[in-house]
Amino acid sequence: MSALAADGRTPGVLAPHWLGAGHRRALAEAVRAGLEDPGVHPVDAVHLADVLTELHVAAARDVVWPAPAARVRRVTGWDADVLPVRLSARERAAALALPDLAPVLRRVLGEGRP
Amino acid sequence: MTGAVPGPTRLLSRLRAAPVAVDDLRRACDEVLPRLAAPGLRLAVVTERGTGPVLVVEEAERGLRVPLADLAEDLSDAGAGTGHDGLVAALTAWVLSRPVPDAVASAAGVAVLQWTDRRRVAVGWRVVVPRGGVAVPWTPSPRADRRVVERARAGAVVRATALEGVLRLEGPVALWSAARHPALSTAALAAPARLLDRLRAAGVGRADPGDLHVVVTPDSPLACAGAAVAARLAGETGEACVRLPWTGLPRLRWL
Repeated sequence: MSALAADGRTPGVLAPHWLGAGHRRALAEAVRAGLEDPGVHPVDAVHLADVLTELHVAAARDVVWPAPAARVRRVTGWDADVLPVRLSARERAAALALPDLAPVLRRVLGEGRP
Repeated sequence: MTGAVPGPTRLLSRLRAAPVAVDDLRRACDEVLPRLAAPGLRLAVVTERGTGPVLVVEEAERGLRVPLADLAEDLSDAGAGTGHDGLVAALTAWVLSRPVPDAVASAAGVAVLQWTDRRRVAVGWRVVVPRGGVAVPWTPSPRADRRVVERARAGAVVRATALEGVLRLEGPVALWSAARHPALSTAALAAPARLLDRLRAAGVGRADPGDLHVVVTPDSPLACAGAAVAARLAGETGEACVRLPWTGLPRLRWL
């Protein structure tokens, strides 16, 4: 699984998008469906694969360093399953370009919060 | 009393935790010390002329005698507050963090990775003793010679190797946590070949040591992943951590 940008460099600046467990699951399903589309552009496929990787990495970060996200949840009152999913502009654009992305995910990825 | 807006001094005093009273600390000692009793450990509050009550902590060659007035001040600075439960928790943590005697390190020490210094940018091996969920590092006493230190380190590596853990997979990331004491999770790196076998058995990529990296934060679970994924994991946390290539693990030194 790639965690590199299409040009082979690191993904650059990653911005947090705070997603609950349901939204993360729905985003992963939409990305997998997009990757199975035979018409997906190879560059978009790399970015979509990186979105899948980040969904896993976000959960891993919360296991190793649970305190930072817990502090944000405590201040905002967000649910216990809300985590920061950090995406580059290209990764976010590739996700938003998925034709079957649910409107609620479009809103969440647009606003960055649940 | 007027309705004037509080000035900076009054705001500061509101934010600052109330000081711990010696009498409250004495009551907390009455509750905490019997609970922490252990063979070879003396915990007592004694009254000494001139200093008032003194907390005595003695275990083998290690001894602490701290006036309760001084300890109350330290706990106040640490934000222990005046609530009884908070004070009991703070005092418990203080006693548990007492220095580790040489014999205890030799009998129960475990090898884990700890920060080399306060900058928290590099790690090395230390012998620690698990106490109440915390890994307390051992500093050899002045009378511990090279043989004592080497024997304690060798025993700590054996115990580190024998520790059981829990492996959790998050896609391309393998997370390893010591089963009974998560603060000892880095002990698994004392036997990297054994951990690598576990990773391979769990199907973590191809667990190629040439590409595998480990993200280390002392006292926290370990994260293992390919180089690019590990870079993404470690690069986007604001927490202190060290990302090490698997092949670099043998170069880690004792602190």
